[in-house]
Amino acid sequence: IYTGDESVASHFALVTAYEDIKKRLKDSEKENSFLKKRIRVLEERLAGTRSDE
Amino acid sequence: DDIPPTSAILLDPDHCNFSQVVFNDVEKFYVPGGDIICNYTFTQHFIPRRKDWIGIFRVGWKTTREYYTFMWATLPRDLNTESATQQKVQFKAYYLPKDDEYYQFCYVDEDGVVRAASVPFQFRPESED
Repeated sequence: IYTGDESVASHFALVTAYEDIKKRLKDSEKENSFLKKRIRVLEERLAGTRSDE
Repeated sequence: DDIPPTSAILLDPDHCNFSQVVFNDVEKFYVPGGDIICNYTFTQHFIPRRKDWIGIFRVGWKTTREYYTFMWATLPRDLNTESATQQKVQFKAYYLPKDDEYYQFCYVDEDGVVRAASVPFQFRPESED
């Protein structure tokens, strides 16, 4: 009996990969916005030391 | 006998339960050129068979014939012991993909039914993240 089981399996495998990559994207975006904030703070600090000279 | 079974597509009431085998400790990245270990666990009621296999598939595969490489699943000597559920197979570097596509492990049983799929991974040098 051919039931398309394999396409169900292939779909399931794709969803597994998709969900994990989506989670990684979210984590990367979080890390990115953290880095942006960090850069902003450091830029301000740099600007401060420059005006001190 | 070196070809894994892929063709039979059977109506199996259990087929929907893809989680009868669980892949453990799958890395996001594997270093290109190195062997990799695939760890997996059988759940309580799953009975592995001699011609079950684990394939490495590119994410987005359509049929189990598209495996990049495969290993026969290792079977526990005694299915009744607790330690029997923890298994591993080693994939030799030579047979692994050389590109940076996303891949995943899939456990395919004797009847060609997919029992588990892992989270995706890539082959990438460590420094490059």
